[in-house]
Amino acid sequence: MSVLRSVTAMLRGLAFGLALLVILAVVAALYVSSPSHSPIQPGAAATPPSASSAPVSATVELSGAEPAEPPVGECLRHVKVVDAAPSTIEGMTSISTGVFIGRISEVGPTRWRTTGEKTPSEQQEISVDNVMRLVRVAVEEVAAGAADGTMVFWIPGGTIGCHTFETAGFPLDLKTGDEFGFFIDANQAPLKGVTAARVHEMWPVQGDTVVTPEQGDVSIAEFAAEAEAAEVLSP
Amino acid sequence: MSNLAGRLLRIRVGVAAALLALAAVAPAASAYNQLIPPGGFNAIDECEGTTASPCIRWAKTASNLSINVDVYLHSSLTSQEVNLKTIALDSMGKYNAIAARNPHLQQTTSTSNEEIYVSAVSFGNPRGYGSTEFSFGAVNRIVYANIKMNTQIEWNTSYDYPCRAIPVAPHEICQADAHKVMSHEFGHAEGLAHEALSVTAIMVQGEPASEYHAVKTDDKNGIIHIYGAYP
Repeated sequence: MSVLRSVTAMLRGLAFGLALLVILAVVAALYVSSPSHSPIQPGAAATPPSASSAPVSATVELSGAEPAEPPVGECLRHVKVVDAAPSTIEGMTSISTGVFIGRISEVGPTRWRTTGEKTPSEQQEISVDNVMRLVRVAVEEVAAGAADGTMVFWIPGGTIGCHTFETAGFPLDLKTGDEFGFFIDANQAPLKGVTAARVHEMWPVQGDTVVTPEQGDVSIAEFAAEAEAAEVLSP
Repeated sequence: MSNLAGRLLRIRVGVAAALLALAAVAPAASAYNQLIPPGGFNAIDECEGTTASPCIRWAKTASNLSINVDVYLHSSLTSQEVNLKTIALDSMGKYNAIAARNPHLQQTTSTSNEEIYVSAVSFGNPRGYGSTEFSFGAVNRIVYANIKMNTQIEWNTSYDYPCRAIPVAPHEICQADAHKVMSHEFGHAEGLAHEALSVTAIMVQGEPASEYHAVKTDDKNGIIHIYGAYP
């Protein structure tokens, strides 16, 4: 009898163990298949949306949540001065995934570049770094990297209520039809869920020349040749 | 590598020669610049000399040194290659030492009353060293300034390394003198704009670091012009 009881107990234990394994396998399968829980390899860094994983789409909606004004009493201008290495064609190309000549076809409204596009509550966050516009650009001539057709980019600054946010090289009054030489970085999306490349700098095109900040006016052909000779970032 | 080193050496020799030639033909002028309200394509223009007006400055000016501007130094400043917080305090001292009625820069530990906020953040690329953002009203008086130091720069206290390429190896990481950049940014925060290469001043952009730790006579003259001399 004692042998029988022992065998029965062993069989019960085995059945319990098998059931546990089945439950664990089902839970694991559900976890792995969930899109929000893709496994992360040790040492792997989280990557923002990029041109390679999510193409810069011409169909991106340029407007977002209606931005509320900063919670400060008076109307202010917020102006940023950046101290940087000289903006040469070669140097700018080295931090860009794409360099091209393009014409603005649509300018979106100014949006907060904050989580949930919420109005910042802290004074130091009321900054041109947290304000952006999306622009739709028709690519005319690719100098380096990947660019094609009509693309959507984000640029810093804009106007929210009676507050203006400005930084050198990014005009507040962008107009449809304006032509620029663009340096873009597809690895820097403006917001979670918004697929658009960052514009590092945009230099005005006047006729057949690009107005550069360091090298004077250069022909579009020279601009393209110098950018092509430099090395771009991988998207 | 030898090609790169040779090229850099040639560039440095060329730049030095050009600067020497420039210094020979263009004697240094006391041409401190003030910030003016932005307009046109570039957000910041410069108003040279003493006649341009109005320029951007703090509304707070002191007939004595009792009027303070509170400076908040964020903890991110202490996590860099060098302690940027210490360097910020040193830079503030340089401007407080000028015999002018400029606001006295005073450290605060509260973010509820700060008027200048200083932090270290990523600029998203290694080409920018530092930045200063002003908030000002209709009468061009600064009510808030935000100084940022780029965490993608390797900070040191004695030299600059040409920042021309994306960092791909240790010897190509952009390096910069934190004293020079921090003092330069506080110069912006006081109301000074960039100075011409021919002038000896902390507000000259991109000059050899070691000679530009100090706030120079040209910078001091600019501050005195903006705020008035201390009696």
